[in-house]
Amino acid sequence: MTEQANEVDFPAPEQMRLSRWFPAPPALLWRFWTDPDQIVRWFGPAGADQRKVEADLRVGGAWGVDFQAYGGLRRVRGEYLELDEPHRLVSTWAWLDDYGVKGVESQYELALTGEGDGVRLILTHTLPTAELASQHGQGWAGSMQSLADYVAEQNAA
Amino acid sequence: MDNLSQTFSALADPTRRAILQQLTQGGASFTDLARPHQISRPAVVKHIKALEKSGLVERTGSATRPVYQLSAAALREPVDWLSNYQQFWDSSLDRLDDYVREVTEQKGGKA
Repeated sequence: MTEQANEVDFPAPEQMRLSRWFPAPPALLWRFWTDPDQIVRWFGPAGADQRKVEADLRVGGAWGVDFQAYGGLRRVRGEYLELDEPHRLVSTWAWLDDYGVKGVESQYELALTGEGDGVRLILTHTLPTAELASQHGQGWAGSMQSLADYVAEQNAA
Repeated sequence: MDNLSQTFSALADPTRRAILQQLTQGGASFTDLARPHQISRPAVVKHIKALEKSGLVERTGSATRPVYQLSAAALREPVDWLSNYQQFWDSSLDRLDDYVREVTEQKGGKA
């Protein structure tokens, strides 16, 4: 039962941003996001199962989630870079392959802001590349959409 | 630089994104691609070369009359990258929302 929808946009070519309102105070969302006993309740794609979570909640601390999805074991690892309870969290993000080797490292930022009777959660997931650090695309959402449409068309053809 | 980083690097420039946008309408000659841009022809050549190097654009046609086209295969990787994370977080936040409502309702609307 979900009353709110996720709002998605792409502020830059390498960035995905989701925005959503929750009927709870920022402190509760912060706990759900950072406490391993709470993370097991929600983290992962549709159909994710058998989650195992560890989190060392301090700057430089490591976290990891293992779960079953898409017919196999999936493992994601990260390191907390910034913690400003209960408003802002920045972490690295990398998938482990079948041999336990880390893939391309990305980064996400969680922002929690009181709004009305609840909290606005804004999640930005970014692929960091040095070349992109100083360049941000304007009006990227439209371009991304037409490129995505184009790819879909080509795939269908 | 891995393929994905190279693709994003090619996508990071507004002129190159405009060229890709033009190419979503179909293949085009160099003259067609250069026309809308307020920059020198050598600069346009540089951007097209960068797009070719990234694999986002392919050159077909003859040597004297090249036609440029989008390569769907190269575009799939960044689009997949973003849409995979979008799906991942979409599902996670949906489930988080259900959990938040479950917990706050148990406590009579107060968390």
